[in-house]
Amino acid sequence: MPDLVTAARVLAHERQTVVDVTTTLRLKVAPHALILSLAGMAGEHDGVLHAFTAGPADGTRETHAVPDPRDRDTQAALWSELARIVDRTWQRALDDRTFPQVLVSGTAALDHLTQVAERLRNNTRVPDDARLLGQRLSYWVDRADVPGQQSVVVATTALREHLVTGMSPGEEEHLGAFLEWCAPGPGMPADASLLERVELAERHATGPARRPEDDRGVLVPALDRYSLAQLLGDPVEILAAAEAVGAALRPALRHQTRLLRDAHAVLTGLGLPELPDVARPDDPRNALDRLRDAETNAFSTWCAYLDRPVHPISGLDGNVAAAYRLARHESANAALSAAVVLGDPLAREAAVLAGTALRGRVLRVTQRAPADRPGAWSRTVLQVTLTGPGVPRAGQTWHLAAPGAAPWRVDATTPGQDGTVKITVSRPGRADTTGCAPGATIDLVRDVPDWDAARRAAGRLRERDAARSPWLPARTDRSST
Amino acid sequence: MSTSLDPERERPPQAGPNRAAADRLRLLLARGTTPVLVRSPPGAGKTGLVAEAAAGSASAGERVCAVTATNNQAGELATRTAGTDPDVQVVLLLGHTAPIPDTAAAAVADGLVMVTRTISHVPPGPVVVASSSAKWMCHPRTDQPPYDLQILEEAYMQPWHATFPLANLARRHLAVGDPGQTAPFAATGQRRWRGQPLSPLTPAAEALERLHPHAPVILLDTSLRLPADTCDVLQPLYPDLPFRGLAQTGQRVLISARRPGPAGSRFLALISGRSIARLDLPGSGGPLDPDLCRYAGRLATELTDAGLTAVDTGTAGPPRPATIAVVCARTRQVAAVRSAVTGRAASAVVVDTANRLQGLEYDVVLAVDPLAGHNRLGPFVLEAGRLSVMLSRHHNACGLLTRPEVALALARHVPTSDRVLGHDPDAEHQGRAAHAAVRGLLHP
Repeated sequence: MPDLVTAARVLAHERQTVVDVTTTLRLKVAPHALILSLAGMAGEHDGVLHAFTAGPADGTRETHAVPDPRDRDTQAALWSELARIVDRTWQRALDDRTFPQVLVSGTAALDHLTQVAERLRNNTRVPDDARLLGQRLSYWVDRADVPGQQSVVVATTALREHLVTGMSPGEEEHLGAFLEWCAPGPGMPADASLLERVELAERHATGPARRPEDDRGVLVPALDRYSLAQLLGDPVEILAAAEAVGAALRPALRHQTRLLRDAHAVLTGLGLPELPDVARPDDPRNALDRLRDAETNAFSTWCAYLDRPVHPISGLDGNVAAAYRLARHESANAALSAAVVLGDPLAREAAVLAGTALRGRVLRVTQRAPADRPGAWSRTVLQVTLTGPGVPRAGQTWHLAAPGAAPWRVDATTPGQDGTVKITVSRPGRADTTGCAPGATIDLVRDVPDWDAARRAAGRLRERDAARSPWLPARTDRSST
Repeated sequence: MSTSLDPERERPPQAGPNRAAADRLRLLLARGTTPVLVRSPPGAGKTGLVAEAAAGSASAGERVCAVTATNNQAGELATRTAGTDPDVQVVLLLGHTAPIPDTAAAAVADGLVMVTRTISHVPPGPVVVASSSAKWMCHPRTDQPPYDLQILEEAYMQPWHATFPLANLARRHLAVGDPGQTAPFAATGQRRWRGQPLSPLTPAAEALERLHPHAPVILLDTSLRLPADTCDVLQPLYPDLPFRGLAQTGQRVLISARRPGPAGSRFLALISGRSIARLDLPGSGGPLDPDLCRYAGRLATELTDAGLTAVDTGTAGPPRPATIAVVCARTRQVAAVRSAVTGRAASAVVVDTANRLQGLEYDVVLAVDPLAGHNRLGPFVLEAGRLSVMLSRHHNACGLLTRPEVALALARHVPTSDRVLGHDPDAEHQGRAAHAAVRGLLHP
């Protein structure tokens, strides 16, 4: 809904505060979500971890740093510490029969996590706990690609899904700047304007990379001191220098963690109703519950496969694995998009604007009873004035955007003289015209969420024995599951 | 069930364009060669060729399954196959709630095509079964392939990930497609597979060519639909497939019963003596150029009200009322065009995106330049396949509605999308070059 977001962005700039771009909650952040702040090392491979702060949002967080992550032993020690904390999160999810949730600051932090995961997950030269850490991080970064997933909360993305600022989308990637639009951060001058506060916030790094001038001024001298101490072999000096490196890294981590806690507070305090599942009003679970169910299922399946010889983690997707993954992503995206258009009035307005949903005022409804035999279809003729340019076409299936409305198949569309359109629709069984009495405004949408589509698609792919396919390389992909 | 075709039973070859290609295809199929790829320009009679191959195989006692992208395509293929040889049993396999497509309604009503919604109800013995790839995915696994020949229609439009699971339905495979069509796409990201030899969205025909580099490729070289001057304009979009038009330039004309409005008169004057032209509208339309879209809607309305008749002076075919379509790149542009199509044109003119009009044909097509209304050009609008689809749907006349500023945007454009060394072609760069070449060949 780019038009509405642009309008909201202008409004946010005028009001100098964030503006909602949704009327429903799309993401549920757990009170005990794992908050993870990472620090890499400038100039080194992105999979290097220099320091981190991790812990549940509602509990105690630990900060660990190593003086020189280029040293394998010290780097392994840091991985072990992170593996221990991630394991705690994992065990809690298993005990609660739910899924582990992690909160990172932005896409740069997610990319860094991906690099660490890829470095460790299949590496036989690292300790077992580090390899397991890599596999678990891989689970998270794999889930991050799935539309509607709830396991990995990228703070800037999650905030932008619900709120918009008066900045450009690129500037919104800076978590500190985004949060300044929500509320003034601690330590900000009381008399500073919003844009001044944003400028001050942008002086602090919020991802794994720090500002080069900070590195040059503080970290590099500390690292030089540590290297010299190592060369001289003075244990006291080594310890002091290591402490100095840690001290140089901690402020950035503290700042990142504080921002993550603030983002967690904003996301849990949005006060929006959860995205409903309009297509199934008899079921007490809403769309957000279904997304969480999908997350729990994905997690339990992954854990069940972890001990099997055919591992669910693929270094590089094989042909069949890629087909599975794409089918899963596409199905999840289709279900989420349909649920959002049906359940979020603002998204439906955007769909009407874009011409993908139709809005009309009902003038007359004529019902024809179905024939008296099982499976007969009833026919309804709706005479409506459509407000948009599109018209339903014969053969298409449309849904009334109202709770529990069954799909209609359009049999014919006849344009009238006075701008009205006569739409003949049919459905199996008795006619149901709930919500479309004369005078009522109706919205018609093409799709309803099919939450099981991904499972069915995977089932069909499994059912096919593709080994003889000329569309596959001669060597069959064995890594797919 | 025989395993190969008997050439003696084949009907005698007919003279005509693409006949040599059809003969070669029949020979390859008779020899049991697999896989075989047919590469075709737009409107070269792919569906007719496929229908002939399917009917020929079935009349030789084989079971044939045809995999299409949509039910409409399956319906058309079933109808054409039944028309090629009425003795062949043709089945249209549909989903449980899918309506019978318009393309097959008449043949179904006449009893030439049988419709079934359950795979187990497909009759045994020689048969041609046409269905969409989504429906074929529901076919249960069997120890032996239940069909002798699988025909994959629109093989450049169907993604490879949707076709490889279906290949075990048959022992031999024939893929037919137009390499200039829009490539398969997904709503979700595909960055994960960039740089790999085959992404799941690689067109099935491309995957087949890469995996079987020695498989025979049959090239069709004559477009039956497009006149010669349109083929010349589209040739840069088909660098590996030289082709020509069967109809000469100026052979197909439009006659109006009434004098159209100013926009219609300008268009008819511009298109006089040729089949494709560029219509430059002055000024700038802003994002997605709604003014240009509304102009296209008004022009389509004027042409409809003028009562156009499509005439082919080179054949003895009777004149017929001209069908008109407006094609856009984006759904929001479609909505803008529809808002300007009024009166009788509202139901007579087809307005849709290029993706949805693939495989369909009209007498007059008005194409809203995909680059209009974009200050910065991206891979979506620059995609050469989309331009190819837009400019190749017509029998008689096609107008590309554009703005002069597009030439400037094209000249200034520097591709910025990610490049992966190794396997992916640079679609953005190729698209830019294709747009520039086509614009250069189109006279304003």
